[in-house]
This record gives sequence, structure tokens and C-alpha cells, in this order.
Amino acid sequence: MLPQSAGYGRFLSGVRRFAAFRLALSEINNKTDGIADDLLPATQLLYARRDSKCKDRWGFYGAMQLTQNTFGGQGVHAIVGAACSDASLSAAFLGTRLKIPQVSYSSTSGELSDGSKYPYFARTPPSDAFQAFALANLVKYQFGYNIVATVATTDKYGIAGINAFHEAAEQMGMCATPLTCLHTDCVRSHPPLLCAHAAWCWQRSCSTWRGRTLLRSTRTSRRAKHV
Amino acid sequence: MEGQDFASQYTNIKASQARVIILFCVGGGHAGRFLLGAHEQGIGGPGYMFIGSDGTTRSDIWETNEMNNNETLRLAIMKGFFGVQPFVDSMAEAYAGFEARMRAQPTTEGNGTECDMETDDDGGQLVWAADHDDDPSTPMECAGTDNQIIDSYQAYTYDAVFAIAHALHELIEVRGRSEIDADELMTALLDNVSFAGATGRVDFDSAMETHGDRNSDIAYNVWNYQSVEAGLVNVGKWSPQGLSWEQEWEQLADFVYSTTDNTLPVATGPVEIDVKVPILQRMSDDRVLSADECEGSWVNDTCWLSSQWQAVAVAALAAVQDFNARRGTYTPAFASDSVLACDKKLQVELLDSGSIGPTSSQRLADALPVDALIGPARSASASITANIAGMLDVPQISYWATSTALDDLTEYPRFMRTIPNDGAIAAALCDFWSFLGFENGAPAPPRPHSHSSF
Repeated sequence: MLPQSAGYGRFLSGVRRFAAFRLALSEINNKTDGIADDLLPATQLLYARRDSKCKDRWGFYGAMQLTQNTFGGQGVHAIVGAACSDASLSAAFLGTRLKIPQVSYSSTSGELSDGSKYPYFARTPPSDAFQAFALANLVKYQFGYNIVATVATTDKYGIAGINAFHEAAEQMGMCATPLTCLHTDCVRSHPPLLCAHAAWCWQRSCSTWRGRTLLRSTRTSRRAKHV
Repeated sequence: MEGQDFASQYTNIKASQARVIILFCVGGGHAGRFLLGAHEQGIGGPGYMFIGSDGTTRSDIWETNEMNNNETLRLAIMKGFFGVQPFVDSMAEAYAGFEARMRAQPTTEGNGTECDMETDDDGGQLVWAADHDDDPSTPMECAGTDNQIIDSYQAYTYDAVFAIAHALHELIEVRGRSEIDADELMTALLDNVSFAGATGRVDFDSAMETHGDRNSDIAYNVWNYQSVEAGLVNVGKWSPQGLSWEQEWEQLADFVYSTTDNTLPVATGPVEIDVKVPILQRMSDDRVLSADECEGSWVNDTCWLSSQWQAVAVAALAAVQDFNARRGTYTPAFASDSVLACDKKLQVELLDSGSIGPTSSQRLADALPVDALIGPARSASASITANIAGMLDVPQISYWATSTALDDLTEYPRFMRTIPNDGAIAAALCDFWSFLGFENGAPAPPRPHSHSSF
């Protein structure tokens, strides 16, 4: 599953990744090219492809089609993808119920680490728990900043990622200004654009601010208040 | 997000004073549109630092909008951008082989109208062409790739396929299974798969709270946008294995910041307060009622004064522009330390005084509320506006009106003049502000008629 189109006339970088997918598959299937020739020596891998469009509903729909409709109704043994965390989460949600192992190549949201919810999901890139820590370290120790503003898209990648950043930043004694949210889908009728806020931390003590609370309120209510 | 207006986000960021902004966006396209609008709002450019997550740190930040074809704009917005990407060891043998074979693949781009019509093994789906607009009646759009540009997630994709292949190998070749059981395949993936992939050692965590996460060779490259030619440059690498940043950080190249002198941007800027200062200036003369009496140009029943009067207005506007930009080319005081430390930005509007009192006062009334007033030239129009300015407690600085009657502090308590140069006007505005009781950067307006930007 790859994002082939974004739904409004622009191709996503899924095409390049698909080229890498095809290369891997052909090298595994070719037993005489000198590359992994001993891997699955008597097996040919077949694939079907669906467009996940970087969106949750398309990830779900794609996973449903791959498992139910492909190869004469036999479906697939495993899914590679999706790219975006939103699409991967909805596919993994389905995968849990249908028992389909799934390996993503770029979904890094920390939410996907929950084995109790997504027991059939794995991924090759590191979780954003590390990325958030990397960013916070860079800001604090490389540049020496204590105050930053944060902007995130309101998908699972953006919100979980920026929350992990807020937590890491708070642990390091940094302050983050109110989170500013960018909605990723203009089709849905979203509540006001600014979806969460926190105390002005240079006017108050950092300890009055809680990133965790912020995320919880964001998660439970997308209709969170706006400043 | 297309068409979305980020007005409230920009207002929020401006109000925060923050100059260092973390972007956690799911795609470079989203971040690019945000940065483009931010730039128009004065957020970004010299003195700012944007730091992007891996979803943001990609060339599609500028490739998906007008920055793509406008290199000046791209540099203005992108210079000094930092971002992270999961580390891929491009020096490692496995990666080098992957990259070379990837580049050796033929292009699948098609020629624009005739696309590569290959389908997947299930026979149904085109893989290098797409219905780009969800409309079957329009032609397919070619959606291949030239295979020359390699992004790091291609290596992660390549390794994802191999990870599944290794798990299948465990079941089929090692355990001799003829049927694939999903639970056994998943367990094999987490417990038995470990190989040297293009992204380094690939193996997975099976703990409940980090289930399926990558276990080994975790590190991040830090990228920095340096120039149009160089684009994003890999300037360092962070590996979470040490006890301190110094141990974990490996710098690979010098940083380029957004600032003109390449110094590290400061974390927060001063609060910038807009000061609304109309300039009352003679552009026309309402005392002249016919073309015969007009010494300038008679247009639309108005006698417009000669260009030397308009030149005064232009000079004032140019001075304001220089003041707002803190440019000291003509007036060194505009770039002096005291003006650089000044948090005021002038918002000017040129008001035509019509050379008479009634027109001057009418134009001033239309422009209210104002924070200060510059002009007018003639004492006749100065006196009535000086009355109004005094009543409103608005400082007024005239550069021309010479009547000694205007010296009366009881009648005209806020009138000033005999200003030697524009620089002094500018500096005076900031000083006057403090004198009136404004703390530097204080957001609370002490005066009832202060306008809403405070």
C-alpha cells in the first residue's frame, strides 16, 4: 500500500518508494542475480497494489481490498505499508481483526507502538518517540533554546509527534508556546483551526503547562477550544 | 488543506514572539504552504529558525508551491531551515549496493501522454499511471519515477519487503510449513528476523508498549537548507546511545542560519507594536476654486499642488519604510542601537490636508484612532488638528508649521515641531511612547482609544 495520489491532483512520494518495493521484490524473486539468492529459494512473491492516499479511510479501504478481493478472493499474506501513520493505523486496525501482518516503511507515529491494539503491525523506521527526543535534544543542547513554538498537522503523525516533542521538551526544562494545528484534510468540516492551547510559558512557570493534558484534550475532543 | 487560511495560526505565532518554530507536518507540501503564508505575514526570514520533523524535511516543501520556480523566494523562506530524517548510512556496503541498483533501474516516467501501463501481479492496478483527479473520463496521468533521486524512505521500503521475506523464509524453509499462518508469521517477524539491510541492522521489538518498533541502528541525520544550489545539506548525525549531547552528536558540516551575519537566531523576538501614524500633508489646495487660480494641476475640480509638495510626502513615506526596516542608508539613526531596540513599527497613511483646517480635521477624524500624527505643513491646518491631537492626547509632530501661536501648551499640549531630521522623528516616537507610560513591549493598552492591535 502506497500513497499514489493525494486526492487533489498531486502525486505523493509513494511512487519512489514503490520503485524500491519493486526492486526488492524482483531481487528476492530472481534466484540467480547474486542478491539474496538463498532467501526463499523455491518461492515467488506476488503483489497487489492499492493507493492509500495518506488518508485513514483509504488505508482501511486498501487493506480491505488487499485482504478480501485480490488474487481471486484469496487475499494476501502480508501488507507492506502504508506510508502515512493515519493510513497505517486504520489498516492495522483492520489487520488486527483479520490477522494480517503489516510492515510499514514510513509510518512513525508513536501510537503504532501499542501492541495491545496493533499486534500485527511492525515498521522498519524508528518510532517518533526517538524523533521527538532527537528534535528536543537538537533544540536544547545544540542551539541552546528554551522557548519554541510548535506547529503540527492534525493527523496521527503530527499530533502524536508534537506531543512526544512537548513531553521531551518539558523533561528538559524547555517551554513550548501554544500548539498551532494545521488540518490535513480540507474536505471534512473541521472545527476552528486552532485546536489546542496552553499557558504562555514565558509569563508563567513552566510547571503550569502539561503537554500530556494538552494531547489528551486534543485526542478526546477535536472540538477543543480555540484561543 | 488546500485553500485553508492559516490566519489564526499566524496570529498565534506572532503573539508568541517565538522565533524558533518546530514543524511536525505529515508532508512537505503542508509545511511548504504554511511557510509560504507565514513569510507573507512577516514570520520567517532573517532571525527565524524553522525545525522540521522527518515528514517535513523534504524537497516537496518548495517543490509543491510557487517556491519551486522562484529561487529568490525559496532562499528567503528556506535559508536556515533545519530538519531531521531517520539515519541511513550511505557509506555502508548494503546501502551503496541498494542505491546503485536503484539508480540502474530504467525510468518509469512515461513521456507525459503515453504512460508505462504496467499493472500489479493481481492484474488490476496500474502502477506507473494514475487517475489523478478521480475522474475516469479524463486521461491518465503518468506517475512513474526516473529512479535517479533516492530518498531515505526508499531504503526503509526495500528493507520492509526483505523483512517479510525473511519471516516467510523462516516458516517455509526452516520450519517446512506449506501454509502460512498469520500468527506464526508475525511471531517469526518479531523474534527470528534480523538482517543487515540497506538501512542497517533490521530487527524488531516485541515488548507490548514498543511492539513491532525498530530495535537497532536508530539514529537521525540533521539537514540544513543552505542555498538554492546546495538545498538541504546533511550537517550532522544524532545517535541516542551516549550519555550527553556531545557524545551523541557528530557534526558533519557548518550550519547556515537565516541571519545575514550567520549568527544563531535569538529564541524570541521583541513584541512588535504597530503604531498608526498618519501624515497630514498638503497635496491639494481647497482654497482654490477654479482652474484659473490654480498654480498646480486642476483635475476633478481640485487644485493639485506641484510635485515638490508631493515629494515631501514621498520623502516621509520613504523614511517610514527605512525606519520599519531599520535601514540606516540615508538616516544612520534608523539603524542605531536605540532604534534597533525599539519595538514599534510605523503604519502610515498619507492624508491630504487640502491646505485648510476643515479638510485637515475631517481627514484626521476619518483616520481615527491614531497613535501619533505627523504634519501638517500650514499653521492654519496645524492649529485645528493640534486642538484635536491635544484633546485625544495624541502626540503631533509638524515639520513645517511655524506659527508661534502653536507654542501655547494650554491650547496645543501635544504639539511639537522644529525637528531637525527624520531620524529624530523616529527616535522621538519611541521615546515619546515611554514618556506616555508605555513599558517596552507591554501588551496592555493604558489609553482608551488605543487601537485594537495592542
